[in-house]
Amino acid sequence: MRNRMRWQAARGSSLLVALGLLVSAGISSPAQAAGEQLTVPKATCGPGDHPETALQGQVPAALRAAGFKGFNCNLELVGQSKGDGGNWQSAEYRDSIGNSTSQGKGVGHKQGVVCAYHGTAFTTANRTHVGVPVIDVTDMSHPTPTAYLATTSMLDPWESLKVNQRRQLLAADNGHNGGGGPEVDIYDISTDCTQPQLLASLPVGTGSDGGNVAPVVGHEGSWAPDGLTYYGGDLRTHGGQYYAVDTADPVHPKLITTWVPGFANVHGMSISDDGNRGYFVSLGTSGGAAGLTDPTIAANNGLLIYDLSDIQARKPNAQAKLISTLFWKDGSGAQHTIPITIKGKQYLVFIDEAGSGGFSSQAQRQAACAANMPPYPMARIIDISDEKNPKIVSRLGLETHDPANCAQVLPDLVGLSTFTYGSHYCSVDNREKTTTLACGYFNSGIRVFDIRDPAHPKEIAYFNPPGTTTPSPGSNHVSIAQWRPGGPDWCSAQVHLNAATGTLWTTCQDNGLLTLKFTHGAWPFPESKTPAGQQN
Amino acid sequence: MVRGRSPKARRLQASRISDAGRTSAACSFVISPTPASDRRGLCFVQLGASKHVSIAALRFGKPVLAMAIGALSIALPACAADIRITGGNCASAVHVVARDAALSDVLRRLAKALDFELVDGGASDASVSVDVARRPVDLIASLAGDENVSMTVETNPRCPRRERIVKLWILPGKQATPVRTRPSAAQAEQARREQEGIDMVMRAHGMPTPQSPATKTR
Repeated sequence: MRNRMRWQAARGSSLLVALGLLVSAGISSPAQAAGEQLTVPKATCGPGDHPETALQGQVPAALRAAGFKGFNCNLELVGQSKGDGGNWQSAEYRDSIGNSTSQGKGVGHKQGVVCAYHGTAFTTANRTHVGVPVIDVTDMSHPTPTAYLATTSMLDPWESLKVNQRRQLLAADNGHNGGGGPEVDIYDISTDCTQPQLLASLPVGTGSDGGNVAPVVGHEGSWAPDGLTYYGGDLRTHGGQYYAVDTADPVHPKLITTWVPGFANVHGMSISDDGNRGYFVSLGTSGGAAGLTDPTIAANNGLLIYDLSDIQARKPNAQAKLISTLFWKDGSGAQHTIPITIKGKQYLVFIDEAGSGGFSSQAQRQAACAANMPPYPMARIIDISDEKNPKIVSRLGLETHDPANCAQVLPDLVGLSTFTYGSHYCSVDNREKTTTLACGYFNSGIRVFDIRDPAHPKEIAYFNPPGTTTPSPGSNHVSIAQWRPGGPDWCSAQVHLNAATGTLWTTCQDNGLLTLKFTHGAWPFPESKTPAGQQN
Repeated sequence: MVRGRSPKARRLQASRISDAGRTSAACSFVISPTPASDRRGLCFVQLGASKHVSIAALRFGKPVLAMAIGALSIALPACAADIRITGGNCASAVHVVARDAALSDVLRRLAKALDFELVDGGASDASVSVDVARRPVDLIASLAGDENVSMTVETNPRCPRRERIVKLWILPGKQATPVRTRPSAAQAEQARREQEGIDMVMRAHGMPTPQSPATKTR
């Protein structure tokens, strides 16, 4: 462990009711950081692999300039559906044989269809199709587009496109360019997930839905596991607010309530299996570069645990009640969470999308390095067995994250302004009995970790696809003008593991949908299962 | 292989071949000034993994004589500027230690050590002080990041999955160009698109942009 966390998580107070009080977010005790590694041990590759040639996670400047050919370790490409490329995220539905009782054996049977959905950028130039591609990935070697969803929210769902497995619904809010309108779109995928049927594409919160009146803007979103509530993160209104939409009647979604956490902005979330707990994030930068070394500037990026029982029970004037907070400075731009259980103990996977001090502009990267803090975001695992006192137990940084390597890594990123070597979305194999975490780390590609010992995660495989030489018109990597010909992709989407077949699929923004197979016996572990709907 | 066959390149090639007959870039190659404990005005040349050869070796016959002369032709100029280059074999990175050395000298020495052709069309004489170990292509990017550099690489036939530099051009460029030029329309458009994209990301996440201040939290 070459690095020690300098700014450690601040233990939040256990306020039971969010009354607009700001929780004091001090700087943590060094004791909490003592056993905490920054970088995970590297995967051990096998014959035929193309391992990374520099640091773990790194695509050196010279390889970028020469045209990056890709790296792989214990994962190999099986199939691809590039299409127009993708943007931030992906979602999966496994039909019939692919349901929870069969562990996702969805290969070659009509009843076992596995459907993939992913967002594309809110662009129209040079597009062959706009909206959300529906791709049949039942046969992983031949992923086949079957439909394109082009209703309002589907034109750019940003980070809100999510499947609810129990009710067999697909939903998104209007996240056009990160903040669209008040629409929520819902599709029925129960009959044939390759041909989703539109149930609703309607504004919520405007009064026309019959629910509470409060304007909302789309960006992030996630289902309660019972499929009766869809939660959203609106980063534009009141400096950031969360909202809950009643989807009991999916044809008529209506707003239940909104709330403003008030610590910083909002973003993604996950909901406990019973619907009574919400693991929301506070998207902050903790004062940016200035806050890195100034202990008087409080951390404001991190975890918010809410009691959602009023909303779940549909009580009148339902409110989300804050239970606890946990903030840190060695990451910012909080992205999302996944509640998991390992050996009967409750944890939370938490992922940032921005490094220490901000969204990783060149100046911010340099400031983080100067402060001896990781310049890029990463996943971390938090012990939530005492929900009033959540504690970080591990961080999943790569060697690129180690500030000791800044001199070697920073030259790779000259001219790039955001989303470089950091994390974005992760998934697990099974929320209920978790063994494996798989993440998209933008320029570092797909990274898979063994988290059976949550305090000591280990990398087991990675796949970083080759750089593309022509721009993909549906990629935000392109529309945000961070794409460079031959440079590494932006792998930002959820990774969908399948233990029954030893495969995964995901999307990277330039390469589109990729199906991969584990090699050299790296995965699954004997105890790994992937029941449908238990990955996020 | 050294290509181009400039007089200087021919001399370098000759000296390399004379270095115990080694012609491969896979050689371990160390050039260092005389250790502080041995101040007799001579430089040592390390060939291969561990051998040190000095003028005293002349008495061991013609092959060694030729080798030593070749070694001196490389090593003597190095005494003034403290430059050390080690590694370059298949298994390890190249390690360069330089103190107050001219960049052009460091690149020349790398060209010799790694057996690539250097076309120096205007390397700055910026002073370099480094202690860095990297793969060859990364090393060039690191050392000459402020130069206008172009290079060709090929798969190293002796080292599976390794690349070797074939030719490195230092072109008249960034620091040497005395005239400031306006960015082309394409560059300006790219810059505008980049700024617009970053602004979009910032706005999407409630961050300030030049056009719109951050929204305040309650």
